[in-house]
Amino acid sequence: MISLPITYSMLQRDEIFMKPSRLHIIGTNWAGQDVFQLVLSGTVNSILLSILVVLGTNVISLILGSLMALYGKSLERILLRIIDIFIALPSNILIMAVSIYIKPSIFWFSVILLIFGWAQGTRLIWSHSKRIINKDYINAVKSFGGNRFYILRKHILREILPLLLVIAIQSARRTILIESSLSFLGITNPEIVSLGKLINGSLDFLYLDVWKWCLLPPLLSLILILVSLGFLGIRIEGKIDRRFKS
Amino acid sequence: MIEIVGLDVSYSEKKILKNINLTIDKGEKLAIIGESGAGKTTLALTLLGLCKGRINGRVIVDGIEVSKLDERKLKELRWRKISIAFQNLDALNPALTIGEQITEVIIEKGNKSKKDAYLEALNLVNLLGLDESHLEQFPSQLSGGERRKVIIAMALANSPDIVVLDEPTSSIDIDSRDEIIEILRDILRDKTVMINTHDLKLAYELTDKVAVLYGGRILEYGETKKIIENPRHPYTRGLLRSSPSLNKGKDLQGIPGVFEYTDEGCPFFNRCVQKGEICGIETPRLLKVNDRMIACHKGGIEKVLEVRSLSKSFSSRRILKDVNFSLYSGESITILGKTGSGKSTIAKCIMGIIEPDDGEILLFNRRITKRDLEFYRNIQMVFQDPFESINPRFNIYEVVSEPLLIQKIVDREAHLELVKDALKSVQLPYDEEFLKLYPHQLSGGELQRVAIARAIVVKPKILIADEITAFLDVSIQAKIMKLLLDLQENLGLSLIFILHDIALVKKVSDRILLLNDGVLEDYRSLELGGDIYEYEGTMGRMC
Repeated sequence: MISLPITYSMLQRDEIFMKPSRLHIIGTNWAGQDVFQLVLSGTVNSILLSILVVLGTNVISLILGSLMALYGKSLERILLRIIDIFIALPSNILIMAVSIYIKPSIFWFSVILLIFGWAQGTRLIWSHSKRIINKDYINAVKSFGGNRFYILRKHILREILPLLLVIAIQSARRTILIESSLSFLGITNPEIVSLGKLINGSLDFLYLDVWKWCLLPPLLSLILILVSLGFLGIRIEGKIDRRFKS
Repeated sequence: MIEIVGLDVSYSEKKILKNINLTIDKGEKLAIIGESGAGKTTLALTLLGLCKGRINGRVIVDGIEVSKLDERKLKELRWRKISIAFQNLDALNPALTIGEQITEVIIEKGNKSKKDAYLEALNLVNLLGLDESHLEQFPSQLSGGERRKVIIAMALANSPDIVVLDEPTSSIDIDSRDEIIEILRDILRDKTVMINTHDLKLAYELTDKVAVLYGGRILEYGETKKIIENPRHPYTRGLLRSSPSLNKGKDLQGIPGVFEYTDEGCPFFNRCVQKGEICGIETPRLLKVNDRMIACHKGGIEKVLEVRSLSKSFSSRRILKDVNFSLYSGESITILGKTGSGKSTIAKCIMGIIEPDDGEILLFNRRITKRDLEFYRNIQMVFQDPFESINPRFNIYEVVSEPLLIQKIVDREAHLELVKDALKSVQLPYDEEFLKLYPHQLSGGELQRVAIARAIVVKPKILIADEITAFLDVSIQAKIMKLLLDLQENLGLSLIFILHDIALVKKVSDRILLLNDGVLEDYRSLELGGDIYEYEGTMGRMC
């Protein structure tokens, strides 16, 4: 049983820069740690972080976005202005600045990402809910005596659930990208295993032959995650588009 | 001249007339209207002392109480004072010529010589538009209209003061009927008349007052013009709606159900669409309501909805300035106006979809401050475009059961039955397969009927139909409108139509309200057909 997130101190050491063998299938790194374990741990940590961020973004987007659309009036106006401000902020730089200052754990890092990332999702949910609410069938529901909660539960959620999936994929991609960039730059907590750190560490040993199994595995792993999330997003968006059009 | 006080007439155990109180002044003309079996003929026969049933109460003709007279006195009364023209065309003796029959009456009643009697008979038939040759003929050689005139002529022999005409225009063609109406208007001028009829046009043209008789009781009594132009008892309105001669505008509608004899409660109870609990228990008394007498626990047709000084602006544009109108139970009104004049805004303000700036809405005479579930149980709306007003992700069962789910009136298990009933009443299939279909698998007409089923599944009292035929072709439009009028007939729905097609408006409306410049004008009652050309002119200029 391992505890999350996985830190460097949790991994066993062997000789440094070992070549791929039965024991270490893609060798060991400069600290004598198994590269395969490292890449796997980095990926797990990334996924853990993205799950936290995705959950947070979706919950906030769903609640705020639908409430804004349902209640309208001043709540909607004020929140829209706040969203505009957050979207206009240079969020990546701010995330960097805050992270340098507090060296956050995974949880607090996810909170920071959430603070700078909730606005887009909320706006998307709001605009879609607004579009649904202005439909005549919602007027019809009102004319049966259906209240806002009923409308949200029975009509809006059904429509925007697939949208939440899109938001989830987008924010997962963004989270993994930002996390690996920041850890590449050495800004995040140095204890936590991360693909960015592995890539950065390997770059110091480019003059040696070992880069093939130190650098390529984390790099390819990162690219694979981002590309597959990208494709998944495109596929789902395409499906939802067709659904909205029908 | 005639006074009837507390009259009950029964044959064996069955009461045919119940507590009839009526007065006919000298020279006054009273119509008794009602369906067959209402007791009209019994009332007429009682006046002449010809009724064979058991009679309670008093019938006073010209100061003489008829029920106390012996046969000889009665005969005298019938000779001099009062006479009757029977409904049945076979009342004439087939073996005698017309001349013989009329002169016989004159001789017997008036003690005149044969020659004088013949001259008088000739005079009478001339008055009725017949000539001497008719006097030579036998009844079988005459047409129905001519025989009817002969029967009336016999009733008029010896010029009685009081004439009772029992269905004077039944079973004759429309031209003869109009001719008879004209003749009667002339010859009955100075007489006291009681006409039994189900022909409302006849009543409208000839009489001053009208009493609506149903199940042996008078349900509405008052001046003919007022009652026929503005009936206030549900039964009178039903009669008018089923009368082709007076109802040129709206399509004919009947009265649901059939007459059932009852001694308890209101006689119209089983067919009434606005009945309450008390109506089945206690018999309503004939009471004065405004300009007439009505026997109804609810004071006649009840006002179900009232809108008072409704106003609404969108930004700086005032759409509704001061909208006032009332809707009565079982009535259909149409709000008519140009596109963009705010017709739908009125509907949406009533339904609480749009918040009005000012004004109040009264449902069953109660001011609505908060629209709760009960409000929406009573009033429902069908929207213009069914594809917009139905969630495309819901299947038909989900669509139609949605109001039930929100209203929580019945358990979920009962939903299916109610959904099926609603679909049945809009003439759609209601099998499992149909219930699982999605809106895009249905045509516009079918889907609009689904929308109507959804609106009526909670059995509302009022239905607002906002341009519901706008997207439908003519044949479907006709079907859907007919459907709504049938629902009105059977369930007593009060309908508010929002329409712009004048030809259609005429067919479906009891009243038309014209929305012009933010103000609603009560245009005219179309109950009487009326002069619609003038109206079309107005609309022609407007649209």
